Amino acid sequence: MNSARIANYGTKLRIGLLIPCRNTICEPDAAAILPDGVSTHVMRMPTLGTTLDALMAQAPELGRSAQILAAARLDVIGFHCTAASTIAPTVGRDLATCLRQATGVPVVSTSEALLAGLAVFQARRILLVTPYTRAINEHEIEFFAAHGIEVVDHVWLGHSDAAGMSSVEPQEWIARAEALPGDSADACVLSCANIRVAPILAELEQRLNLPVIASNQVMLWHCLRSAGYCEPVFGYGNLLTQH
Amino acid sequence: MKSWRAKLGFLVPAGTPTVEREMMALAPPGVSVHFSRMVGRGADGTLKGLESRLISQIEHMDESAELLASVRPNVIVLAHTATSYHLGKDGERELSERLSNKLGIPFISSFGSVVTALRRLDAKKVALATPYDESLTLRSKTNLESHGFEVLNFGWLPNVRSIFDETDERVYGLGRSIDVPQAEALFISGVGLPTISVIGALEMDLGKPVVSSASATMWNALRVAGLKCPITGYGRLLEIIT
Repeated sequence: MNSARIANYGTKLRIGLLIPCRNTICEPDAAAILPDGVSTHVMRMPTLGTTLDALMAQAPELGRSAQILAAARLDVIGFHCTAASTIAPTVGRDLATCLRQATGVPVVSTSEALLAGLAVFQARRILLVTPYTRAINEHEIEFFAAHGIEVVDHVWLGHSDAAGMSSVEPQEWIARAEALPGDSADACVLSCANIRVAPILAELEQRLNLPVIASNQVMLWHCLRSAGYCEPVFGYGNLLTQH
Repeated sequence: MKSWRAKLGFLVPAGTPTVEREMMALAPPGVSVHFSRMVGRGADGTLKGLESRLISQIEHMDESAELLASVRPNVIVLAHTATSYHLGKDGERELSERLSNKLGIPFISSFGSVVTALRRLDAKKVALATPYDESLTLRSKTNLESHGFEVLNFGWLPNVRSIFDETDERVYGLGRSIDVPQAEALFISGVGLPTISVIGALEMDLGKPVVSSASATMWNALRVAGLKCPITGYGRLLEIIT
């Protein structure tokens, strides 16, 4: 009768996540990655627009979703969709500002987290590995370029649906990343909150001999650190152990 | 992590921090747990404004459930006992049937799970402990009685400011003080009340089954999803695999 696990009662921090309604990977990743005393709370977002105008038109609706989430008395909220938050250079920051105004709670977006994570490693030349279509990759490459980061090589798997993205086996991400010529890169980004990469982050860093940043890992890191939690978290790459 | 056994979906009231924590802790290997918040107005965790919040949540239930349904879970649980009390036996059955049919996913509730759990434990005479006020506690009692249970004793925690912030010590003490020898099980109501860290000890010390809204929720969600995975440490209910 001693096998009871202690519920993670969030005595140190409560992190709220606004996630795309079809995402099935973010919650398991958060449960795995977040340390004792940090709990995570979720509100699902309706399907997000794929153009800047369509996305910004959803800001009031997203504000209402964020207000519902904020009822859980959170320390920080993550607006968490990589593709949406990188659709234009400042859209992640702009939406985070809207949601912060709607809730009174600090809000960070995936795109801001990616930039903050890359800044830690002073990464200016990156490899980009995604489950997306080529068009989405092109948007993300433009996003990084606007922030002074060059994507030196990239690969996309051509998935446009959430189930396809989450179906890719963790080991395949290693193969895809290793297949890119990474000689001149100083970091590798595995982009998308709905891919199963948490189990392979540490291994991939060793194999590539590069820092590896992934959407869920970097979002949780950014939420932890921006809310003042500074302890190392082990098992998911250098970002969480060293920074 | 991949949910190679099942995905369980939980609809929670906006303000609760408890359900995600407790369901993540209870979830067996290969089972992923997914959440969304019910649209509803009014502060959570307090009794003030509860009625209007419940009505608002029920009005928006379809849109809340549809967002969660998009993860294609094996089951969706309405994880808010007070909403069930407001709906009553017939209202809840109607809602569950309608949403199960509409979504093509079994739609169950925490309170319905408690009813199923107490029956599975052959407990007809129960003691009822709540974090509510007198009026909601009486509503809970009436709901249990409408399902054929005899409530031998009942009572509530005094001086609750927010049920989410209640302590192991107070929940344990509540259970001890409400149980009576003739009761065949103790039921602690309220999914928002943290209970899973105490029900194992409470059950040991009382020598009878202790069911909380949370333990019944996970047990029934696994059962409805077709899984047979006993979980130890939280009372005998979660060790029963049918």
